Amino acid sequence: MNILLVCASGMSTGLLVNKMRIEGENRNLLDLNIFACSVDEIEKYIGHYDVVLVAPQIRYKEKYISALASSKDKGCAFIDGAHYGRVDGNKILDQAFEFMRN
Amino acid sequence: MERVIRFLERYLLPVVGVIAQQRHLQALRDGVVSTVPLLLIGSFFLICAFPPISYLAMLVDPYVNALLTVVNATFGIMGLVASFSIAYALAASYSMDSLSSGLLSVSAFILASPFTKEGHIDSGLMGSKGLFVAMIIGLLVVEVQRFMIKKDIIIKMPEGVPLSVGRSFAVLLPGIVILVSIFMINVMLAKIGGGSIPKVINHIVTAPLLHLGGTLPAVLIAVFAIQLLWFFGIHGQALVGTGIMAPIWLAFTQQNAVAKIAGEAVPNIICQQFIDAFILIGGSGTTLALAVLLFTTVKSNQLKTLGKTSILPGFFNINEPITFGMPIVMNPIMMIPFIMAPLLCVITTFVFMASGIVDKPYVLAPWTTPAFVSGFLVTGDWKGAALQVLNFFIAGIIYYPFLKIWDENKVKEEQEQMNAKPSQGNKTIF
Repeated sequence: MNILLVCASGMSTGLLVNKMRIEGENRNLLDLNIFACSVDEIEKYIGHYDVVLVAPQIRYKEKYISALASSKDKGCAFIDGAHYGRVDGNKILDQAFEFMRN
Repeated sequence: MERVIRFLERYLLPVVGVIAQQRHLQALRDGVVSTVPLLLIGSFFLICAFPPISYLAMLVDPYVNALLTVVNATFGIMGLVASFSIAYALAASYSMDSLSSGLLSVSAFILASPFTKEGHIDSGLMGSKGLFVAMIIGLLVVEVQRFMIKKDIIIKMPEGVPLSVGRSFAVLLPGIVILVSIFMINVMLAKIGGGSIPKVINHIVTAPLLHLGGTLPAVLIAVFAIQLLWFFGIHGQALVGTGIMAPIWLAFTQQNAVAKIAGEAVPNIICQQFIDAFILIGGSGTTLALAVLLFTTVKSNQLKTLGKTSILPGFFNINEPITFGMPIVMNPIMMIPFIMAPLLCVITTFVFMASGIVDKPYVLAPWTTPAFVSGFLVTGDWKGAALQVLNFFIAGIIYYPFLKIWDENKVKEEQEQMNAKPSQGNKTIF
């Protein structure tokens, strides 16, 4: 499972990457691959991932990101602000599985 | 609150989205911001050339000119680089041949900037003086190209000619039209009172824009807008800071570096570093002080946990755990200090620099550079770090009473939850 996290500069989603990796290890998910990038780089990376999770502070780019994701047949969801603030790897990992296509 | 959120979803988000996705604005932003890595590299050599410690300065003295060649090749060609990257970004957004558009734009930019009497490129026009020229030319080049391609005014190759050959010919006619027009405009402007494209653009666009953008009210308005957008959960810094103000703030940054190289007084208080190092201490909202207060003073369990998760990112000026975790977003209580603290820091920083007590910044440091280090680095003055400490305490004092109110709310909430839980099993408690 490959998860792409997107925010304005890839910094605050970077915090989340570690939390989600630890959570993945706890769940014994071996093929978990998580990466954070800035919204400007999304087109470069989206092809390699199964699902895109977007940070709440760039919700204003919703149209663009969800159109891009559906054109590449990728799952796409916006992270809940409260989960994001708590850097809640557990809940956000659940969300990734929920929105994965195929 | 529900209503406010619904209003926001329906009206504000789409408007903000349209602005953020606007093709030309985005190309300008991407193009100008792509010069930042070069400016950071140049800054490294700028610090080496003018180290803030006098003993080191003595040591590097014989090598200053050698070090400054790198600064000239980075800060000095900001406009030239932007002329490429802006056209490149816009052409890419149209799925046009972005490389050829970028190259054509560089050519057009050089042609528009008159050579010196000796027939050399005027290096003064390659830096921030050329930035706004590059912005206008970069966009125009791509638009003219696109228009001509759309109207089929291009040299077309017969079938069977490889696609890439055809594409390289497609750029020829638009290229000739663009370059000839720029040449003619410059000749005409020279006839009318010795003008040129950069002179006219600097007079009509750059000078008023920088004049306005460099004032205290302009920064206050920009910072207010950034904070207000964050209150609605929108990345204000990306939208307003990087999205709109970056060309102006970075132009000032460049002017300061160039003045430093020339041995002149650093001219601008307002610049990218003013915002990055002195206002965004801990992230938008000057929240490092709030993170420290959360770490040390709160009683609610939820806020205690938040203090632990937010303090380390806070030192690197990342504060999403606070903005979304506390939350500050859509929180009318925390909104007040969140807007007040950075605005007051703008004023103190401006006053201390305008009065000459603290040196003006000339080195650009990455925005993730920890506070108290960055203040010293960007100004080369220990008082720069002291000013950051002052701003940190000002923000702390402003946040404290509001944090107390919010903490009490949270403690009450947690107690109610505690009381509610056993009551499910054993109702006799009540």
